[in-house]
Amino acid sequence: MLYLFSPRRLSIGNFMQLKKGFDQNPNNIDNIINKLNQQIQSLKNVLLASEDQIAIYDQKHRFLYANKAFEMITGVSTEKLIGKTSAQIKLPNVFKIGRKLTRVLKTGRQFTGELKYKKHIFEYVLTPILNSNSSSSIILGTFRDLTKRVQVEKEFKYAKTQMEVILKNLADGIVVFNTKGDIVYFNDSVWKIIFLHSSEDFLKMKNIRNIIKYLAKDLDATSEQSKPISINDSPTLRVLRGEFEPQAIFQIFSSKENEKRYISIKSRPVIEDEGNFNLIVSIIEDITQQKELEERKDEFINVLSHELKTPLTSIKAFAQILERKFRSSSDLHAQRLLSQINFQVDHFSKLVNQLLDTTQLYSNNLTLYKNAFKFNDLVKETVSEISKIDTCHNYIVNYRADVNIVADRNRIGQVLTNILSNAARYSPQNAKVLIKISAKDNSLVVSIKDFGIGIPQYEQNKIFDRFYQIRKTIYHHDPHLGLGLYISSQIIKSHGGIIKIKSQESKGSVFYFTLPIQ
Amino acid sequence: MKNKIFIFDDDEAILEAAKIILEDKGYQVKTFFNFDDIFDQIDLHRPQLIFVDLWMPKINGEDIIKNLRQKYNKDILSIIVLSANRDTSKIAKNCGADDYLNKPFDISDLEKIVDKYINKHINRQFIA
Repeated sequence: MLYLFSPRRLSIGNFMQLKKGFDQNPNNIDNIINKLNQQIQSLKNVLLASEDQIAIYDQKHRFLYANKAFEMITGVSTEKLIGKTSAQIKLPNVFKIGRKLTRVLKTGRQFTGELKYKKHIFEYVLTPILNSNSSSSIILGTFRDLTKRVQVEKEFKYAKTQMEVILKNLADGIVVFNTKGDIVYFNDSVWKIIFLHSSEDFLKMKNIRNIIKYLAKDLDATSEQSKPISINDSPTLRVLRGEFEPQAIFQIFSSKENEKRYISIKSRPVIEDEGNFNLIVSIIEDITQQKELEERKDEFINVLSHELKTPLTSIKAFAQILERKFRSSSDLHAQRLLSQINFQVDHFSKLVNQLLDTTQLYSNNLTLYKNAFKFNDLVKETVSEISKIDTCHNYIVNYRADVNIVADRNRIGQVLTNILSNAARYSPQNAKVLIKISAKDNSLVVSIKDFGIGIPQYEQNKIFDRFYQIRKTIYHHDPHLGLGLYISSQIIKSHGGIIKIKSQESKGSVFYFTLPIQ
Repeated sequence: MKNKIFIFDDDEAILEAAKIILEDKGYQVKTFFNFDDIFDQIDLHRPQLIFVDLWMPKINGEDIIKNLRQKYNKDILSIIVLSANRDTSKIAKNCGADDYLNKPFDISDLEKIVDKYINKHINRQFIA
């Protein structure tokens, strides 16, 4: 479309200027006529090249001019039009706009209208061109085909409505904030999830800070660990502090409705071209059902492991009682079998404990009982315990440091036992297992090196996942769940430490973990 | 006079095993698979030490221990939580028990804990 020549801005200012010059200096008339002709020619060129349909009418509605585009659309050639009114020629009826022309001539004001022709929609503008005595002499008519634009607008409107319907009916709540934290957009699910009764109630809060205040005060919102929430827990505000996709899970309670809900809130900046953002999108999800199912599952595993341990308790006790009785009768065979029962029961109950630990870790419920203790004492105990059970590996400890740490002694012992028994599990008989205790930058560093089958590169980052088992070992056949390293890594992480592995296939592995020294 | 020990657990096999182990060590042992008449029984037999399982029918072991603790102080009665819970140590601390023993237990650990608390009472009697 041609915008160079906007009909709305057209005036005969140029002509008036020329006329003024002509009046003042009649001697220069040739020059002026020349200039006038140039102007008219360039004007004609512009009109001719225009994609818009252009027609010029005189005071009696006769065509003074029509461009190529007008000719094309109406199917009437310019020659037939000039000097005639639309009533005098075979012009499509919709282009017969005599009444509008009369109005423009009468009022001297521009008129804008719309007309439809052959499935096309035209916007037309009739502009009066004024005489020096301010009465209209001619009218410029421009017709612009809007079909495409209307179509695009229609599609856009449809898509927009569609989008709005989807957002409105989405079970998840969506709120968009600006970088001040003010609400820019939200759907109905948002206010419904947080126990409000209308969108007005939500809009009244205006800013994320007020929403958090409402959650904390009116709905006693707590974190998953049952701690009261503060402004800093808001994922939206965390985005403003530079996080990319922070998430929070809150527990809320409405005393009015006597209902408890778990909500998950995830926020994300809407990144624009240059990496900046002006908006933050937050998605609020009611995860109560999911949480309740998880709780039921955890409760089930809790009961299951408790019930499994009950018969184990008496089996172990009876086996030990018998073992003692046979010790005095010097029946070595029976003694050995009974101690096997004892050993297997211990193994079984360890597996049950692992299952329970995993459940607790997964629901973030692992409670740590921290106390100060000498780390090397724990290493000595653990190594001596494991050497008693596993006599076919050679455990060598290198104490390069001797520090006290504040940690859950049982849990850290569990980590040591896990890594050491893994080292044994994947090493040939009589192989060495080297343990080194050192200290660096306020951290205790423990490394456990074996000379076993090693772990291929592509598996190394998966071994700390839940239920991940590195292929069947060729050296041992004791069953395990693939939970040991997952639990170990979670225990170390919850103590603020780091756990890592370095390994080379068929050469062996080194596990490292660190613990902070207070 | 033999030292008396009570064991409360709803699993009869555990009661039987514990009874065998502790009677072998020369203690007088009475076992119960619920908390009915617990106060009457304690008042009647005056045990120095009792083992209490947490998951019991009708009444929760934790609540019973809290009630027992109000009536009998640690000088009169030692209470040990005996449980397959993962958080036994925390629960024991919260409800005012003297100590805890996780299930399944090693019989030497059972003996050790009994010796420790019975000795405490013997020493106290001796001083008195």
